[in-house]
Amino acid sequence: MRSISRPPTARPEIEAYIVPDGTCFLFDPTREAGYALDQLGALIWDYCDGTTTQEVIAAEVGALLPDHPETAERVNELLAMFAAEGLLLPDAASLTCDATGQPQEGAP
Amino acid sequence: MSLSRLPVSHLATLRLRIAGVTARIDGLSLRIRADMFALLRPFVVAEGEPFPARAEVEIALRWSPAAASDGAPDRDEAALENDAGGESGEEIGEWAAWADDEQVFRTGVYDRLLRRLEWEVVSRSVELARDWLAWHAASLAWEGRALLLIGASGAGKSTLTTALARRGWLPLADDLTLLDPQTGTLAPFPRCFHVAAMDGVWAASASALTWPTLALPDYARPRHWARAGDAPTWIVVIGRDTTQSTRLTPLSQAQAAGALFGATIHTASTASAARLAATVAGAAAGCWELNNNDLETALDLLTTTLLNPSAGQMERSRP
Repeated sequence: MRSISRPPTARPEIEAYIVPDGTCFLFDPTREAGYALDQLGALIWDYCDGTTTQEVIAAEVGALLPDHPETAERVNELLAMFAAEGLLLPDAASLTCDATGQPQEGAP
Repeated sequence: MSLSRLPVSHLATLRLRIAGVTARIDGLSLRIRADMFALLRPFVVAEGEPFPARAEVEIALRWSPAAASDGAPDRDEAALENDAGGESGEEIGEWAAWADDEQVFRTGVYDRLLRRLEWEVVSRSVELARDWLAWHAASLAWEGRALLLIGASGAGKSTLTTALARRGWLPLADDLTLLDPQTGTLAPFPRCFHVAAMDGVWAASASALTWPTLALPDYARPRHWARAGDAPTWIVVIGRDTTQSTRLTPLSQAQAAGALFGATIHTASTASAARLAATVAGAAAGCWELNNNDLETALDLLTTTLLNPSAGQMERSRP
């Protein structure tokens, strides 16, 4: 059995407004703060539904933008920024997984 | 008769409706009332029109003959003095303004009294406005489309607004823009523009402006205003980086939404402010950031880019 970080999960109360140019305006009602995301940021935010690990997000977004080798680094930067700004659920409760990588029932 | 010897029986009232909010200023001398009437004329409720016994905003002036120079001006008063270019006016004894049983300011200088009183009654009313979202932004209209100019104080909103009006745009506001959240359209806010820092711009625009009172020679009101009902079509965020050339660069709609949200003065809730900012920015045909170091260049860039978008590339700059 091993422990992995919780897949990035947006706080449910964060409001995300995708605008027609593909960018996204986030609003945190708790802090009454707004955040402007570019197209890549909007894409990554869309991945933060708690089902995909940071590594998989970086790989999938990197595959979408093969001409931009810096994409994986930017994914990590943006996810770190989301976490630092408190836009994601806290990572303290890591998931406990079995040998196949599947989360166990009753994991904290 | 000097102002300081006016008997109490000369004190008068001014009744206003600002952004749908009723406001009343009591305790005005006839001279102050005349100047405040001129400054706020579009908002004045005429005699005979219905008005509640108790207004939503009530400000009372109280006067005493003692000089006000018995202490340093408070921070807001000092800011207003700076805003007015540091000019000093006629000393008039001490006037204090009260609202909600609190003293909100006091001054012994006539022009400061007018500036502060106008600012207090307008800002307090807008904060209570039920039917409008208010942004700290200038706005103008061109043939049914509206331009929002967002920027900090001193960024050049009033100067650009007045100069664009000279080029045929119709002003909606120079500092405080009202959006009807139900329709997503703007309404004119016919408050006086503050033209102190405009150098020669206002002089060149003199025929388009009126000066309501000699007491505040830097307060002017456009003669013509846009009508209500135009939706924001363009959003321009104004900055002033003196190390960079005057240029207009595209801004994402999310960045424009962020700027609009940050410029929110009042709405029913911050959540609705965020939603409306995103809605307005998302519906805008164009969003830009203007580095505003040279007025004429900025005007050329704005008019060319906004009104003739096919004339050239999106990003423009001039040395």
